[in-house]
Amino acid sequence: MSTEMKMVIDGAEVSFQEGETVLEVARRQGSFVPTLCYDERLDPYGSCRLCVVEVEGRRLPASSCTLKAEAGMDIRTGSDHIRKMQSTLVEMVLSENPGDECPRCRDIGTCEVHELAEEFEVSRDRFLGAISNASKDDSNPFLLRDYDRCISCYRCVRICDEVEADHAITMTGRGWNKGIATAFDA
Amino acid sequence: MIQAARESMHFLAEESCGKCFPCRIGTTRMTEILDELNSGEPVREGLLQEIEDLEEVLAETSACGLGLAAPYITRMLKKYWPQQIQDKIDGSGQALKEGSE
Repeated sequence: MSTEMKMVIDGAEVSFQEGETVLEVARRQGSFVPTLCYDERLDPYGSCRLCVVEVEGRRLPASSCTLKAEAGMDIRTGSDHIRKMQSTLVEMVLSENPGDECPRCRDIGTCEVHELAEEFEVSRDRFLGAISNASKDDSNPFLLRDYDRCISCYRCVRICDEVEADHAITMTGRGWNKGIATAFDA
Repeated sequence: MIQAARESMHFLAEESCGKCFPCRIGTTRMTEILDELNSGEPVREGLLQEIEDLEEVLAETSACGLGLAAPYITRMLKKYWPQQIQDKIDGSGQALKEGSE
């Protein structure tokens, strides 16, 4: 049996198992760490950057989902500075897609972006500009691929790869022109 | 210099891979904001605050050096050529609402 390891999260000493990430330990300990690209079934990806935490001894915040817990680490999850950057990030995500989608989406089910917007008390009114990937692929009479609600967390691609092992969906494009496509359509 | 800053930011936006949110959205929004400053049209209220918030997120949460480097462009612009930004804002008839620290 490996020896029990300890780290500090928000001032409280917590034990963890080898291989756990800082995000997993922090959430188990009860700290609020928002995420949009994280899924516990998937490997850490680190694209939404919402899970950033302050690590004692490091100059820049680190994304906790991709940070392996180490003995003696001292982590702060909810400083005003971190919360402000998370709030800005949620506003940036909201700005990427058309504004008229929110009411329609709410009828379908819970929306993590919407929940975070409420948590941080922000709405889609800053950083407005071009809409990313607004074009709808409506060429199939039975299927509509509606990217107006896509925040490019790539969870669909990763679920298809890592869980389903189908590798049928892929990422395409780069930067602002990123998108989701079927395999070999990149 | 604002045009030069815009071209540099546009370069980073073009080269951004698009994986991490702060860089993908931040470099694009920064390019648009610099375009807005350059346009001669009245700039929207809170523009300087938007620049500052984007700089913060880019500088501290980006996954790689490309996003981390982006805020240097606007920070240097504000540090060494503040008058040029001020002139654009004044020229557009919009009073400077908040100062850049």
